[in-house]
Amino acid sequence: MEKIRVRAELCAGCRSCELSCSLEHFGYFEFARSRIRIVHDEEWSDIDIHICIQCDERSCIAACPTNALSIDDGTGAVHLNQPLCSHCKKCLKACAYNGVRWDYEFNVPMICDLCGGDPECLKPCRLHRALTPMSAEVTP
Amino acid sequence: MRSSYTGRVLNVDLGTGSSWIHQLEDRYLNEYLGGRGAAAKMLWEMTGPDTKPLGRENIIIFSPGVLTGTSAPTAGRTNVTFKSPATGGYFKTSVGGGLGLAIKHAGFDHILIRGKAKRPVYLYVEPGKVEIRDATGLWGKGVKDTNRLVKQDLEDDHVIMACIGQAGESQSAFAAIMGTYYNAAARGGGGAVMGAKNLKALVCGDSGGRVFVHDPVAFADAVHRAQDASLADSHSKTMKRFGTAATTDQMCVASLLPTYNFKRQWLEDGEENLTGQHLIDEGYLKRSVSCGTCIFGCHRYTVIPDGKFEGTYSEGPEYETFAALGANLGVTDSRYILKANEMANDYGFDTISLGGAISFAIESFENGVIGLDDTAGWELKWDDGDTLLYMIDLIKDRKAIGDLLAGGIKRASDIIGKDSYKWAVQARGLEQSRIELRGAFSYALGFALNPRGPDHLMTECLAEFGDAFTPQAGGVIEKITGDRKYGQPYLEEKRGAIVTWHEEMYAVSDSLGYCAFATTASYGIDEQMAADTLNTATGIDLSAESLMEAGRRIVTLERCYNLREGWSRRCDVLPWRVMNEVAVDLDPKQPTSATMDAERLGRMLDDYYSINGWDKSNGFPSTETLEKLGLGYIEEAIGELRTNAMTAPMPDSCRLP
Repeated sequence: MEKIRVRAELCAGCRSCELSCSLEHFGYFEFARSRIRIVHDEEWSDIDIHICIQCDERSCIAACPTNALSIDDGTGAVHLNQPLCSHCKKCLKACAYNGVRWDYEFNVPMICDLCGGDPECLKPCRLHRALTPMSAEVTP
Repeated sequence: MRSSYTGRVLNVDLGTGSSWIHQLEDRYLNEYLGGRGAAAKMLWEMTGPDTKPLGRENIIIFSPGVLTGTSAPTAGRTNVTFKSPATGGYFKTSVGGGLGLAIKHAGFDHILIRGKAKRPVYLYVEPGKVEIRDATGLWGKGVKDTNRLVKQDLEDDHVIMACIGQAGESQSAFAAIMGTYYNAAARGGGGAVMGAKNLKALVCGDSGGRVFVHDPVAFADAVHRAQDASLADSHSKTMKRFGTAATTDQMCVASLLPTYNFKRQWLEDGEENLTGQHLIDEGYLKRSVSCGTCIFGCHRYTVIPDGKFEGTYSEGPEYETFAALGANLGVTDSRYILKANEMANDYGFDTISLGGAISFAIESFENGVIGLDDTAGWELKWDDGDTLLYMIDLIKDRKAIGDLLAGGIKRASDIIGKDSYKWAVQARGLEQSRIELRGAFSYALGFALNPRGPDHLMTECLAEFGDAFTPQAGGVIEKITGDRKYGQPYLEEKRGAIVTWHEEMYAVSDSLGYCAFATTASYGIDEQMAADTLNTATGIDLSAESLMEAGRRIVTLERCYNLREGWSRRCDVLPWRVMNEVAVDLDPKQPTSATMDAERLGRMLDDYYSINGWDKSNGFPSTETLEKLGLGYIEEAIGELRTNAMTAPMPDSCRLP
């Protein structure tokens, strides 16, 4: 499965990706329950996008003391084996890309799983193109 | 049953400081579609002819759409409903940005505010918490400072708000309610209603809270289809790349761009500076900005990087701002317009009416009706950016003639007299938005019927340009009239049907939370798509036809609100200039008799009335029409008014000398 290319400079701040992610994984809409996060300073129109970028380092996996995190063979995304999680938050601290978000209800990390291969967040972003498959060409 | 519409209304009484939640009955969704429709019903019930718009008894209701807070594309809008200090009638204005998402995620479908606080306050809302907080230190501040100070006070950088600037505090008839920094529920003086209540801001936390839908799988499927259809519309890319000012120059060529206070319909030159392309070429455009869940992103964030007015930053200008603060005054130096836009957003003015007030003042000065004493010594001139900036401050500070103008040009012309009503381009107390009605007949009919006055955002009939606009617009005209040939703007035929469809679609869009650009400028979300998303989100089961009938119910209720205020067919008019004067230097290309005179408008109104079961003699929906729409309860309130509607004293906002 292709990684997601993130171009915050093209993001329009609509937050459809956050809501789509929450719906796909939880069946309802909650901003805190999205694996992608749009941080928008509206006054200056600065936008950051926080999402797992499937980096080469995978420091979250390296930091996990209980081997709860691994790479999914099918998608290449980080997979959480929830029963193994010791809730230590070391993965959260280890990620340099703000790619890990903490689920305060289940007390486990939330990391992009590429929706099993068909990421919901890309669908509303086809015109903005802040989120695209890695191979897609983008001309602003 | 889980639903994206819970019917929960947060009530706040600023006078007593109390707040409570009440639950609307199911029919507010089933019959009035939540959002705009449910708010219209509440305004009908809770206010009336005795309600003074700036009195403590007026209410103001913030109503995100039924689908707001979900991932439905463009469904992030919030209706703000109140009795208007500009028109004295029903008023709904709509704002984008993130406000609606925040209100819904805080757990409410409506926030209804009444009473008047003893001193300046702001209202803070998050899931499970409602606070009325002191805003004494915010009073007198512009919108940017208000945002900064509220964030400091709450120690939270991510709150979202609706607030007023100095314009709202001083109760200008065209004070906007600003959505966080740069979005605006601009028209009708909602900012003044907040100001009169000593309410500086409504602030929502941006965390926590959930919005549910009835059937998540079916809803996701409907949303995917709505996204696909919206992106397939040929107008979608134009909105994204160039924003609402994509075609200002083409409108100029087509003699559809009002200039010099509607005296002319085009500019000699410089019109290319008033476009989205120009913002890109000059390096002003930093980002295309979306409202909540908008997959288009027509809003502009602009910065002047160097030279004159270096460091100016805001969102916009929209087409209407380019037209009102630019073309309308003959100003084509875009730097002045960006600066004026920044000032208007920060003071919290509706740029449409602000431009109308300034052009009215310049023409009054030109005609010798006002002089240097009135302008505090400034010679008002067309084509002059400095006059523009000077006048904005004069109106904000309510100095000299600025005090009069801040009350709207209807009241200003009543006081100035001397035939100034002829160049006060307003009707029913609202300054007209900038489309040349003498060359677009559905627009003209829609503007005449609009319960809030002559503007585009209850009925905008872009589709009447048919295939010349987009193939999808041609298709809409075919759907409404049976033939694409009616897709041209200089025809009287079928205008009643075209306006009827647009009114209903607007009511549906607003109630569900969809942006009008997704339903009536691009057309990806049609009646069926709207019904599919609504039904899967809420568990109700409305056909596309019943959905549009609910739209008609909403439009009719809003009409009746104003009839109860003493309005009638006599108020279904356009500004005097549009009805009586031919544009100067009329472009010979324009195939029209060049005024939207009473006879022509009257014929189109007759057509509209008969389609919708309204009485042609007075403009009242017939008793049978009300019964058929389930609005029988209205008869009791307006029945006795029917007989004398056309002879009773005219409401102040509609009366001309």
